[in-house]
Amino acid sequence: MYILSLEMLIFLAASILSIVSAALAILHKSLTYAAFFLAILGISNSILMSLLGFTILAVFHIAVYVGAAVIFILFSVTLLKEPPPPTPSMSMLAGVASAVLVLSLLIIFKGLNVQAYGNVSYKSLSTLLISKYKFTLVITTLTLVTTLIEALTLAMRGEKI
Amino acid sequence: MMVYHYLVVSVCMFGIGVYGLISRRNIIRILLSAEVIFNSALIALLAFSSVSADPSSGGLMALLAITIAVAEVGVTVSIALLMFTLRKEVDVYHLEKFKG
Repeated sequence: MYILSLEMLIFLAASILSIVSAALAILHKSLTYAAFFLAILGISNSILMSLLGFTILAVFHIAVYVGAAVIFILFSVTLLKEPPPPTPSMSMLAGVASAVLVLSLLIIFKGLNVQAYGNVSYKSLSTLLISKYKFTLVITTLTLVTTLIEALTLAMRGEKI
Repeated sequence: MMVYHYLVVSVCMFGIGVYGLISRRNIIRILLSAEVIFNSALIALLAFSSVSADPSSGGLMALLAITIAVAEVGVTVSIALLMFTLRKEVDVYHLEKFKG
């Protein structure tokens, strides 16, 4: 009899939760619930990240991505109304396109049977960021500041008109 | 767990995201689809980097990607709110009216 290990059980639960919440984030009628399911997707993805050995990244993902971005979307969608649903031909085209894409990628990745576990600590990440990728850090910071100004300008433009 | 298992999950999420990206017209729905695709790409990146010689580099790349993704959400939601303030709709098929 084949017995599932604890790691495999957690992986199965997190994977099923990820796929179901991704589907519900796209297909749910209410935008508010769709944003809520995106938050669930972020949490289940961080479980997968910690199973891969990136625990620090999983914590960062929950704190920054789920805690800030998804909650921001969740509050914003309450201000907006829903346009009419897509035409059936468009849904069919999208379904066929995504099915072909999924099958192709599954065939490409089929031979990759390697044990996945990369134990990454906070110390190694921060050391690498400061020593080797200092310039990248500066560029990312500048990008964030520029984006902040851009978002504020867009919001102010709406108020003036 | 094998890398292939993580990639299967990632590919399934990617397919769902692509479906949403093609079939939806609401700008927030399109943003949600792009976020699903981003999450799938993140899992694929970390799965690949976990079997590489230096997993820290992949982890760092993912860290920066999450940061940029949050900025992208801020800008897209600002555009959606501006669109709603001006036109009282968020249908991307009518986005061309904002030209100039």
